[in-house]
Amino acid sequence: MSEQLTSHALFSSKIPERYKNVQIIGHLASQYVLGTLTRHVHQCVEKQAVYNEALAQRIEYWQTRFVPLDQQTKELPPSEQVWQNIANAIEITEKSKTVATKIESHSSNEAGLIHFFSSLLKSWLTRPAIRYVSVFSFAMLAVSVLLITKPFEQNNDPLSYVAVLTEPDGKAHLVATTYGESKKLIVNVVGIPTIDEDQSLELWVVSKSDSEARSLGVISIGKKLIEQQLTNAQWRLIKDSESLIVTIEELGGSAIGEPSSLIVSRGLCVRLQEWKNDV
Amino acid sequence: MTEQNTKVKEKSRYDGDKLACLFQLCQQGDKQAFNELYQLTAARLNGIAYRITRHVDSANEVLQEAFIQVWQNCDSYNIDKSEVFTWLASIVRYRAYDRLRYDQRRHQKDMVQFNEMELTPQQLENINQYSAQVGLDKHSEQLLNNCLAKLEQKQSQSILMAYLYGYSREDIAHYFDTPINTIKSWIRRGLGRLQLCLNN
Repeated sequence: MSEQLTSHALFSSKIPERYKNVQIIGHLASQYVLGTLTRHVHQCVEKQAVYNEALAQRIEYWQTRFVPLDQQTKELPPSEQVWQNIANAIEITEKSKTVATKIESHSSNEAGLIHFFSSLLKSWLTRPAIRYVSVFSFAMLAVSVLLITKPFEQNNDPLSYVAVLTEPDGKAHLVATTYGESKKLIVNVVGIPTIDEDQSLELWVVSKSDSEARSLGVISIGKKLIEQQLTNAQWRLIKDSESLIVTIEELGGSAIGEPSSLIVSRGLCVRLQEWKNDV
Repeated sequence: MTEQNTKVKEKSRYDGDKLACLFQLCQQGDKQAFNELYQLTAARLNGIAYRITRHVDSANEVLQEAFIQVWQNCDSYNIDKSEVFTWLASIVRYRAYDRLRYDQRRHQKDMVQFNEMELTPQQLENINQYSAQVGLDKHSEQLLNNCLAKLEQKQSQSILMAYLYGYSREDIAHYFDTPINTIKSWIRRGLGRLQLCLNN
């Protein structure tokens, strides 16, 4: 591997000045490989290495030099369940891709309604007089119509919770709904922010009991409608939910099971029964 | 070079090639190849995760998450740039470091006595073994060991504590009862000397 840090290798408009300094590159790369950077800096370096060839080369240099220590490490056969879980996760990923595609192509009516509500909300929010119209009210309106127009196969499956996730200025990003009978989460993507290729958007549920956020999974980019079968544990989280949030995470989701501070949207979870009682 | 060394090197190259072939199949969505890749590497990678997390269940979880990440992101891996095992081991290590710190924070939050500063006798033995000058051939393992052995002991110990066991600079400073800036200096100088030695 080349160890020369030539100026042309450093040239890129996406690279901040500090990442073009040879000494800084050398320092960051070695500390990155040693694992001594903070998580935030580690992520920044990882992100920069995508564009910064010199940085990527230095990381590769140290990884290659240190890997003999890993090759000498004593083997420890994993539990058989590990592969089973991996295989299941891969199947789920593949199936969810298929399901999402099917839903996308066969439920244009529902998606159209969501789009209609999104446009309506955007149009309302641009009018000063009703700028502060409650997003909560909008959610209830959306739910009412969704309930009426729900596809036949889910008519017997009661809608349990709904959350409209918005930016601080009220722009809607997602409408998340859950169905009690089938324990399904349906996410209608209205308009999510653009993220880098090496990032993912992750959906979290914030608990009413302990205020901790727990992941519901990564949001597939490019899908308008996402359907996810919730596990019993996830369903319990929904029942105890205070709100849902979406954060920007590294590609594939948070590595440590905690949301980053980059919260892009948030919405209160409204239990439908309570709403009906209020009405 | 002895005949045995040649065989070892050939086997290592064969393994590298095999992993590369399997990985190329994975990039085409071949789940059977992915399973084979897992079977060939999981025990070693799980060992790495365990070395850092010091907990069997955490190691298994790290391995599981790492392989799901590998499957999801296998398109982003450039086979010409690094060995497959190096890439896999790096993913596992970085996830294990994260997991270790997450577990530490959780334990601290729970106010449980969590004495992470103590190196176990086995860890100390490993570090000393790595630090010692062993063997005479020029295998990369020996080269690294030889170069580590040329560093000042505290420099090599700090580097190995971080890499092998996921110690943060704060942890190392606490272990040596030394200001953190001193640790940073040891690591920086140690890496500088290590690089010179490895390049030579």
